[in-house]
Parts: sequence; structure tokens; C-alpha cells
Amino acid sequence: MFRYSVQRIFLALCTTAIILTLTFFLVKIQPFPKMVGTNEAQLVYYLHQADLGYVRYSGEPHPEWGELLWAGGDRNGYYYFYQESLFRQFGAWVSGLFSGNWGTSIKIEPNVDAMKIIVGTSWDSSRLWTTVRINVWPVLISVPSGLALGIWAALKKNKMTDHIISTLVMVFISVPSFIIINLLLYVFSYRLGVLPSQWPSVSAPTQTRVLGYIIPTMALSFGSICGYCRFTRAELTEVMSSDFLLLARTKGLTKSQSITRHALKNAMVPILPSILSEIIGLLGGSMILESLYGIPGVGRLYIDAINNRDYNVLMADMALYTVIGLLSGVFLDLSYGFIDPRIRMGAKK
Amino acid sequence: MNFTYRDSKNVEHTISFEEKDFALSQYDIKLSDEKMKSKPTTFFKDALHRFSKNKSSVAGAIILGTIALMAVFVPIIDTNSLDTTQPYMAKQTKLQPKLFAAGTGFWDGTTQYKNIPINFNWDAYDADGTYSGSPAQTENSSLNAQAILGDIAYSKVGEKKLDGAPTTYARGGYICFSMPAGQQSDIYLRTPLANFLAGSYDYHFEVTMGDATDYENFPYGYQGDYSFAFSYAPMTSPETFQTIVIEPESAQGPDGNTVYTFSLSDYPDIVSGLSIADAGTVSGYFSIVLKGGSGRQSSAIMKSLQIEPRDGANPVTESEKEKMAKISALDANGTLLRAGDKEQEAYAYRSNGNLAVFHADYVTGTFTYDTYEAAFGNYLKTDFTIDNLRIYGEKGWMTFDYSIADFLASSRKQEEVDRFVAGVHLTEEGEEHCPLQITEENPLVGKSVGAGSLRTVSFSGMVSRYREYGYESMPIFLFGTDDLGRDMFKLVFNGLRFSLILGIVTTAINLTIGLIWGALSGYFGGWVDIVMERVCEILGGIPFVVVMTLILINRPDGFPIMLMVGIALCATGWLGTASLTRTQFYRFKDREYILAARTLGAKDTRLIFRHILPNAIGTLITSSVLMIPSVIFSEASLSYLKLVNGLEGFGSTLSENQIFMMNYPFLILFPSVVMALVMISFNLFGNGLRDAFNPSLKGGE
Repeated sequence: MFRYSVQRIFLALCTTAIILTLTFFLVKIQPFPKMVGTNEAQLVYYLHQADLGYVRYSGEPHPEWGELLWAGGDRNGYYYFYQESLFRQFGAWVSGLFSGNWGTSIKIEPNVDAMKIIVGTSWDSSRLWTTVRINVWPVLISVPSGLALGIWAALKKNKMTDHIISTLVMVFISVPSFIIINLLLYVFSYRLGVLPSQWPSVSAPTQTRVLGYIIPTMALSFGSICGYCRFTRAELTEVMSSDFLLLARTKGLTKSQSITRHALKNAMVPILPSILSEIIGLLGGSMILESLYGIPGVGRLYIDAINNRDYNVLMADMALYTVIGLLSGVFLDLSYGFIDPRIRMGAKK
Repeated sequence: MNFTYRDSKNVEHTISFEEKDFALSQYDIKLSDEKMKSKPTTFFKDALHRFSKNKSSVAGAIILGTIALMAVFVPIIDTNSLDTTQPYMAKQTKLQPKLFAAGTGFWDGTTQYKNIPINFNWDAYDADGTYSGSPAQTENSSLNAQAILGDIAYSKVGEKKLDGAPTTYARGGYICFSMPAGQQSDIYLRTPLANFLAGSYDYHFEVTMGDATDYENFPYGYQGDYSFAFSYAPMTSPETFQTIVIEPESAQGPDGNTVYTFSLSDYPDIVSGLSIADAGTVSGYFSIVLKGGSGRQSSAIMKSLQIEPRDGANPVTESEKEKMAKISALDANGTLLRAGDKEQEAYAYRSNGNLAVFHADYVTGTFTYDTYEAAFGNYLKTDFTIDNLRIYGEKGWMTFDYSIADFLASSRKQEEVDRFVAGVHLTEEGEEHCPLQITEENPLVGKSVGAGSLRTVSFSGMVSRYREYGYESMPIFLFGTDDLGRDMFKLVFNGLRFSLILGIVTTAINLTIGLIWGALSGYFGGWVDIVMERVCEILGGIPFVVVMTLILINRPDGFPIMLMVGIALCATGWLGTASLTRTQFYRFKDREYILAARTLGAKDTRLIFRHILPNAIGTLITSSVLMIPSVIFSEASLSYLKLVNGLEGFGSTLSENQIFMMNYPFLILFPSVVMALVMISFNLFGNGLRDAFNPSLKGGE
């Protein structure tokens, strides 16, 4: 098990490295992001880029270094800035990663380190924390209710209750989230006017800020409640029809005993890992919700970074998404073994 | 032979048999296998049979089929133009969805307008409630009175009070002076002293200022940090304003307000000033100047400024009374609206600071509004030229008893025009198509203006807008129209067609790549499989948005965005199919029948395509059917997030109309409903297929 875990984590790290490299080159073949702003801001930016190793500069023009990025200076000197070669930039970038340096933003928060934009300097300004805060409530709500609904539907299989639950689940899973968000916004914000139609700012009164959580929580909960419900129902139905449960009943266990002691336990084996891995997925958030509801989280940052062509921020955000995705996959695989010792992950045939 | 048994009542029965009771039924008959009476079934027939038993999936398939057919045919059949450059498109924006006739109350192209300010007919109104008026043209609504269905439910007079900028639809109220803190500024309320004051100074001005206690809800705050002066300036133009400060007497008014009064004759300077301008006619302005304090915002409310005859003065004639009323500032809203230099009427002039109306009356109305009548109804066109009529004539819609050429050659005086107009008739075709309608109630009227060669003739008549725009009849937009006047019904199904085509093509490509990849990987195994699996693992590790972003930012100039989106959707989309196929190959490639086929000399391709792949066909069909909605969803999300612009799918329609959701929810509702229906029916259909192909999975997910 230990060996498998190490192997799995190592493989995930390799995959991450390959993906990040691919991302780096695919992003960097774009024209070098040019800073727009005051002379001072540009100078600070290009000198910083030179410190990071993305740009080289000289007091003399060097046309053989490629396209001139910017020329300017202050009383200390006048410089000509050129892009470093792609491979040198890559080297600089990789060494920068180890010191936590992801390059600087040019538009979103000019001259601020990309990772700092994601993580933020305080709780309130942290985009990552905002995203996590938004996503915690849906998990807290959807896990118990989804499991409960799923169990209920499985116990009443092929009865009216099951049909109603299954139909609702199917509808909510099929309908795209932005339609549900729109519906919620229309009903609760525009028609009834009880909830804010935009994510309240930090300066808003506490009551408004609390109310601001309701629409995102509902929007994210519907989908995951349905997902858990469907998953639980399917797993439990399968376990309920298995032979060992029949044996348990013939041994004289009551229905509820057999369900709580045997069926549920076994049904939870695939469900729990998926819940755990979803908790890691919290960090990623929902781009659609964040941009629709104006939540300053990592998802909206991603869209802002694309629209502003702020590639360093974009790469940091992409890396975040990739790591989250891979990490939750690893977590999912490993937790199977921990939850059910009978499953030996990575065992030979 | 005897056979004994006991029945349930424990009575013994005996049955006896003898050999003759038995006969050989098939003695000497040759027996061979008979052909089965039931028809043999194939895998697909069996699946189809199982599918048709699943009611919800059949329903899903029917809905899906209907919507798909609509996606194909609606853009062809629906002839409404989506070309926003057409001039009439701007006139038919945001029409409500219409299916039934107007007035039905549901899906009838009408909308409810609530509390819209009304240009109220104040003169015709009396206290026992005669109400009339039509919707006012406000900033965000320009409503057409003829499109109102039924009666307007007016608010009660006195119920609605307006604070702030004066508007055309309000009346009365008080004048509120205010100026920001730290500014020493003047605000003038002027009343021109009309010439009737000349020679008789037995009038006084009565100015009532509001008290703080009156106006608890006063928005600007009533603060006393100001000095104020009543001043007079003999002047011919407002710019040369000179002030003579008047110290008025203040007194407690009857309703608790401070009343300031003064008489002109108490101020000999003014009196002499008045006579400066002209001996006989007096012109000049009387003003109230409010000087703000320096510390904080100051404001005051003036309830009225009235010019009244002094006690014991000469009797005032009716015409003088009328003049006094005119130069008094009784209607604050009206006074503030008059910014210009008008004779004989009080008006406001602002040099600094703000003048606002406080508690002016206005009336609002709630009514049902037929958006189609407003956009396409008849209207009186007054600027017809002879050329317009000539064109109608050329189209065969009109005949002229008095020919146009003869008319133009005539003197074109009014009697000629009348003669010409009397001879204009619509033909039968014209009755059906001509925008101009000539009826007894609304005849064509001609007017001759000017003289000689400058004489111009214009006509006015009732015109049908929809015919003018080129429609045969009053158009009906099932889903309404968007902010550019495009038919939402066509737009939605156009979008659906685009999404479906994108979904199907992408799925087909993904399926092909995935099949080949998975087949190779699964069939050959070994190091081929390991390498191919690692590639899949890495590609699968990249989140879809990242793939999309990377591909989109590297789009070469001029490369169609649609193809780029297709490439992005295919870049990692085939991974699922590939792993599915690979699993199938691992399951089947070691079976005995494969070994048998191989022994018989079957080649790899034959083994792959004829012996292994058919086993996976059910799973693959199911997965590809379920892939289509996910592609549609991805495309819609991307357009919706505006990561991709210029796609015609659902997402862009939804995202374009997002901003109108509050006031025009139908713009979001209809595309959403269609999209939800498509997604739901795709899933129902796909799940049904899965259950049909693999009954052991039935009910599970």
C-alpha cells in the first residue's frame, strides 16, 4: 500500500510537471505580455522581469536579440529590453517556482506576483479563500442530504418515491448550472428581492453578506445533491441485490439491521472516496457561478486573466486547477484502500 | 392397474387403468428438429425491444427527435430576418412572446406596466375622480398610448410624491434650495415684474418658508445654516443682476410655518428702480436669493411665493389677478421646469447650488400593454410625398383618377390637391398589401403649402407599420424578439442547430479517434499500451478549461473560431471512448473464439473490427449519445463565460440576453427551457439506450 501510494504520488508529480511544461510553452509562444502604464510602472515591471530571468536588457540597442519590447529608463540609465530565449525563460521559470515566484501580473494587479494574487494578502482579499468559503456550505449541505435522498430512493426502489426522486435528480443533473443560477437570481433577487443579486462587497453589512451566501450555496448544492443521490442510489441498489445481504436476512437479521450493518457499509466504499476527493475540488470552485454572481474567487480570476491576456496569472491559475485535478484523482485512488482494506490498490493480478 | 389416492377430505379414491386405455401417439412417425416458430432476434432488435419498454426513454427520444427536427426546419421555415441592419429591426425590439391573441392574458404579446408616470390631465381632473392621461415619456420608457389594452389603473392624486428633479408629468410641490457644504452660493428664484405693477405699488409679496418640523423626511436635510435675502434687481438681462437686500418681516403663519412678508412700497429704492427702465412699462426681476453657509450643506424649502394685493388696496381686476397668479411661483414643478427667460411667469434660475422640487404631485398608471400594437399598429403618417404615392401606384396598389403627371402640371393649389386626393383609390391588391390605408374614418388628406415654384404638397394618412416593414400580416413572435429585434424563436433554433451539429461532429471525431486509439492500445498491449496509456493519463490530467484556453490563445489570425472550438473539444474528448474501447479489448481479446478465429487465419484488422469491436458497440453508442449533450454544454458554458465569442450556439444567446433578465425574463426563459429540454431528453434517451444494451446495469447509474 505504501509503495503504491508513493508510486501514485510520484506519477502524479511527473504528470503535473509535464502538463506545466506543456502549458508554459504553449502560453509563452504568445507575444511577450507588454505592460501598459506609466513610465515608472513599466520600468519596474521590465526590471523585475529581468530579475526573474524572462527579459534581458542593455544600455545599447541589440537588434540581433529579437523584437524590442520596451525602451526607457530613469535618471539611473536608459535601457533596451528584449525577450530572453524561450528555453532560458523556461529555466528561469522553473527555478522561480521553487522560490514561489510565478511571474508578475500586468493587468489585473500590475506588478504583483501571480501566486500572491491567488492566495491574497489577507483573508478578505484572498481569492482562494473566497472560493473555499463559497464552496464549503454546498458540501456541508449536499453530502448529508444527497446521501439521505439516495438511501431513501434505493429503499423505495421502483415505487413512487423513487420515481419522483429519480426524475428530479435527472432534471437537475441535466439542466446546466447557469440556467439554475439564472432562475435563482430571477426568483429571489429580481422578483422577490430578498437576496442580493451580486456578491456583496466586504464593506456591506453583515446581514447582506450572510444573505449573499444563499444563492451560491443553492446553485452549487442542487447539482451535487443530485450527484450524490444518484450515486448512492445506484450503489445501494446494487448492494441490496447481492447475495450476502440475502444471507444476512436468512440468518434472521431484520431489514433495518441488514441495511445499516451490511448494505450501507458496503455501499459507502465507493461513495466516501468521491466525497473526499470532491473536498479537494472545492479549491477549484465554479467559474460560471463566480463570474455570474461576481464572486472574486479563483474561477473569476481565471476568466479575467484570459480576457486581460495576463498570462502569468493565467499560468498560475492553470497550475492550480491542474494540481487540484490530479490531487483529487490521487486522493480518490488512495482512499479506496484506506476505506476498504479488502481493496488492495495496485496489487498484481 | 389400480391407482389409489386420498383427497383433502380424506376420502379414498381409486382409479383403475388398463392397457387399452393407452395408445402410442407417435408410433412410426419420423421426428426431426422443427424450425423455431418464433423469429430469431438480433442484438439490436432485442435492445430496441427493451428500449421501447422504457417509457421515459421513449418520451425522451420523441422530445429529442421533435426538437432536432425543429432545429433543422425552423430556420428554414421561419422567414423572419435575423439581419440586424434592416431598418425596421430597431422598431421591433424586445417584443413579448406571443402565441395567443392579445388580451388572452397568457403568452399574448402583452406586458404589464406597473406604476408608470402618467401625463396626467390635471385640468380635467376634479376631486371626485375623473381621471385621464396617457403614459409619460420617461427616460426608460417611451410608450404608445394606442397600445394600451383596457383601462389604466391610476394611482390616487396625492398618493405619489416626487422629490428631486422637476419633470413634465408632475405638478405642484415646493421648491427646495440646497447647496453643498463649504460653498457660498446663490440660488435665485425669479419672478418677472410685469408692467401691470407700474403706477401702483399696493402689492406685497408673501413668501412662505417651510419649517424643519414639517419635513422630517426631507431628503436633503433641513438645515438653517444659511442667510437669506429677498432681493430685487432692476435689469434687462439676468447677467447684470444687482441685489438690494430686503429685510422681510417674519411671522408665524397659520399652519406653523414661518411667513415672510414685505411690501414693495416700503422700499423706495426698488420703486425708483422700477421706474428706471421705462416710464410707462416696468421690467425687472424679483428674486429670492439663498446664500449658503460655509460649514455644511444648507437647504431650505419655499412653499410658495405669492403676489397679493395689499390690505385695503384698490380692487383688483380679474385680468390683474390672472397676471398675479402667473408671476407667483405657486407650482414649484412648473416654475423649476421653466429655465428660460419667459415673460410674465415665475421661473428659476440657478447660479450655483441645486434647485429641486419637493413633494410634487404625480399620478402613475398600471396597465396592460400590447407590445405588438405598439410596434406594428397603425399610425398617422403626415409626411407623405407625391413620390411615395407614385411608388404605390407603380406597384399596382393604387389608381389615380387625376393622374400624377396632370396633377404636377397643374397649379397644385389646395383645390387641385383636394381633387387629386379624392381620386386616389386602393386597388384590390392594394387593400391587402399597401401600407397606406384609405378609409372613411381615415381618409388621405393633402395639404398645399407655399406659392409658385416653392409650393409643396404633402399628404397625411393612416399607415400600417407592419406593412411598411414588409410583413404580410401582423407578425407573431413565438418567443418574442431580442434587443436587436431578432426573432428569438429562430435564434434559439438556429443556436440549437449549431450546437447539435457541433455536438454530433465533435462526437463523431472523438469516437473515431478514441476507437482507433483504444483498439490499438488494448489489442496490442505490452509496451504499446503502456506508452499510449501514459499519453492518455497526461492529457486527461489537463483540465478542460486549460486545454480550451491553451488552444484558443494560440489561434492563428483568421482561423475560424468555430473550428478552433471543435479542435479544443476533440483534443481531450476522445479519452473516454479510448479507455472504454481498451477495456472492451482487454475483456474479449483472450476469449476462445478469438483464438479460434486467429487459428483459422484471421488478420489483426479482421479480429479487431469483426470479432472484438461489435461486442463494444452498445456501450460505445450509449457513450457517444451521452457525449453530445456534454459537448453542447461545454460549448454553451464557454460562450456563456465569454471565453469564446462569435459562436452561434445557445450559450451566446443566453449570455447576450443576461443583462435583460430583470425586465425581460422571457429572453432568458425560452432559450433556457429549450436547452434544459434538450439536455434532459438527451440524458433520458442515453440512459434508456444504456439499459437496453446492457440490461444488467438497469436502474443503476
